[in-house]
Amino acid sequence: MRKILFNKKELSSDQINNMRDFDLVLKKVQAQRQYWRNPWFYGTIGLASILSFLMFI
Amino acid sequence: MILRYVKYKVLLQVHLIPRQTRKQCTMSSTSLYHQSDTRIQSELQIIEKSKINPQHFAPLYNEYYESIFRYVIKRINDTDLACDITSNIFVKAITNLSKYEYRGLPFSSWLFRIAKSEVYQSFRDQKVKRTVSIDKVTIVQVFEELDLDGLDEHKEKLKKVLRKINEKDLMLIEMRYFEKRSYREIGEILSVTENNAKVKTFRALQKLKVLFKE
Repeated sequence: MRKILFNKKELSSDQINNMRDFDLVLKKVQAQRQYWRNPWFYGTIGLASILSFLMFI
Repeated sequence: MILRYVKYKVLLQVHLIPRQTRKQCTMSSTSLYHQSDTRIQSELQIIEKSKINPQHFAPLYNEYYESIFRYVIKRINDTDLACDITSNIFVKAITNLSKYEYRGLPFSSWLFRIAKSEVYQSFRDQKVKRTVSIDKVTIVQVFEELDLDGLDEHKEKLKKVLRKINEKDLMLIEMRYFEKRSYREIGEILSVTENNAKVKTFRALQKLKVLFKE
């Protein structure tokens, strides 16, 4: 069921802009950037595996 | 803004601006949504920098925070949740920035598309109830479109109808009449052409009319 609001008092621009928090956004972005999604991660793991295999031989 | 407008008017009077440029200048000075080429270019530069380092995204965050927040709060009547959702919209925008390609549409339309999907996701997750925010000024225009007189008589009926109408039609009516968005902007947010947006909005209004007569 939808709620219909008539003549609801809107927040002012200052009130909205006071809620801005770009640092929090950056923190969330950093948290979402998982290291295993980075191609460098697989590259390093792959190279290390090959080197250790070669050393074993 | 005022100085720019005065300067533009003076230039018009002395016929320094050709007709085509005049049209573009009028659009950019009156429309907050459709921006000038220089502004689009500077936004694109920020986007390219932000793809490497998200900290460069700050100017775009500051610029669009209010409009995105207002879009969310009108549909979700909860300030704290709206704040969270707005924050998530920007997180999603930054993490998916590498997928963003400029195809002639303003960056804000991409942000609004993310906002639309995030808001609907919160409805699906049943975090919050769907809210429609209307005011006296906007419903007068809807009543004009529906050929109705008398605000108080039909106000309650409109509330009932807005509860009944399907979500897609409500979204179009909301964007066109309650938020005063242009058809071009609606089309860009919904990934349809301007004409298609116009046709769909017209049909939504027709459905509203039918429901009103019931």
